[in-house]
Amino acid sequence: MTRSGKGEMALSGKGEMALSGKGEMAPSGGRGAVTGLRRFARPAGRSAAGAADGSPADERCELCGERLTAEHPHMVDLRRRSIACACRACALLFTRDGGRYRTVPDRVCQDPRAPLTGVEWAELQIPVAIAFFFVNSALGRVIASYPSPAGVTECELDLSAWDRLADGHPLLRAMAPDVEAIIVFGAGTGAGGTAAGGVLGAGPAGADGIETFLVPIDICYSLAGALRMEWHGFDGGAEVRQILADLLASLRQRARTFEPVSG
Amino acid sequence: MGDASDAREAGARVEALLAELRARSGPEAADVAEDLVTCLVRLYGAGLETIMRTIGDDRRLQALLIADPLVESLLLVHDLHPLDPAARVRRALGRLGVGTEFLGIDDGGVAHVRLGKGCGSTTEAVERAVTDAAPEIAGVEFAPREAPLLQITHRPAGAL
Repeated sequence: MTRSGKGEMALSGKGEMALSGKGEMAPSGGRGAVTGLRRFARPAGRSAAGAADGSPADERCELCGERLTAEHPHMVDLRRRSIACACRACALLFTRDGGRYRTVPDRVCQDPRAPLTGVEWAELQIPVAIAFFFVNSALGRVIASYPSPAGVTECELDLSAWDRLADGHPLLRAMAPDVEAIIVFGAGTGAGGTAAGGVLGAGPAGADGIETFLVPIDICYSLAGALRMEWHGFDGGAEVRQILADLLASLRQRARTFEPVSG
Repeated sequence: MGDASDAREAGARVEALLAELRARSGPEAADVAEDLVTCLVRLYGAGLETIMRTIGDDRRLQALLIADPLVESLLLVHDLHPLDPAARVRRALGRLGVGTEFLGIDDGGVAHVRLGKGCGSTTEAVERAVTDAAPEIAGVEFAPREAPLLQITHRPAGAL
C-alpha cells in the first residue's frame, strides 16, 4: 500500500485493525508451490524479493477479492467490530441497514452554529484532549474512545451528559451508528488552545478552542494505528503532534457545514 | 489428510483446502482459516528463526540441516536459508546435473540461466529447480544456447 503524505491521513494503511495475512500474493514468476506457504510466513506488504514495492495492487477487497487502489472505501464488519477494505462495487452493495457489513460513508461535517464549549466538554469528563464517539449498535449506546499508545482506549462515558450535550448539538445526533464518529479536538490542541502553544495551527475553532467534526469512522481507526506506531514518551512526542495537526488540517479542508435535516 | 513431506506439498495442500472451504462455506470462513494458517506458520517460523540464530555461523550444522529436504524447504519458507540465493541456485543446478550454466541474478531479481548443449533438460524442469531453490527471485530467464559450431556474434551475458 502506498503511504501517501501524512497530511491527508490516507486510509490505505490498514493500521492495526487489519485481518492479517491477506493481500500478499506469491512473488511473480515464483511458481514453486513453496510460495504457497511463504505467503503466510511474512507480514503483508513485505515482498519476498525484498523490493519495497508494496504496491496498492497488494490490497484486495475483503469480500470479493477484487484488487484495490490506494484510495478505496471501507466497511465495518459488525460481527467482528473491525474494518474491512472494499471495492466500489461491494461498498455500494452495503450502504443499506441490516446485515453484517456496513459501508463507511465519506462525509466530514462541522457545525459552526453550535460549537462545543469548554464547559460542555468538561462535563463529559474525558481525561484527554482528543476523543471520538460512536454509536455501537450491538450495545445500543454511545462509546467514547481516545487514541493512546495501545491504539484505542475506551473510556467510561456519562451517557446522560452525552444526551444533554446532543440535545443542543444536532451534529452529535447526526452520526450513523457504527460507521460514523464524532471526533473532538479539545482545548489545548486547537488554534484557540493555550497549553500546546497552538501547535495545530489556526482554524475555525469553537469558542474555547474546541473543534468537533462528524467523520467516517475509518479515520478513527487509521488515526489509532498511526499513533500506535509513532507514540513516544508521555504525550506521544513530536511525531504524534504532527499526525494530529495533519489530521486536523485535512478535516478542516474536507469539512462541509452541517445542515440538520429537520432542525 | 495426506501427509505432507515437504513445504511444497504442504503448501499445495493448504491452498487446496482453503479453496475447498471458500467454495463450501464462503469467503468469511476461508478468511478465518487464512488467519489461522498464518498464525501457525508464523509461530513455527519464529521458532525456526531462533534455532538458526542459535546455530549462528556453524557451517557444519548448517550443512547438516540443509541436507535434509524437509528442513531446507521450511527454511526457504521463512527466508532463513543460510546460503544466499545465487549459491542456492548454483547448488540446485549442480544437482540437476544437466550442464546448465548459471549466469547470475540481476538487479531486478531475475535469475539468468543458459541451458546445456543438446542435453535433455527442459526449461520447465530448470525453472522449477531454480524457483524451488530461491523462491524469492522474481523469475528465471534463459540465455540462448550457445551455437554448437559457429558463433557469429557474442552477446553479453543476460542480454536477450
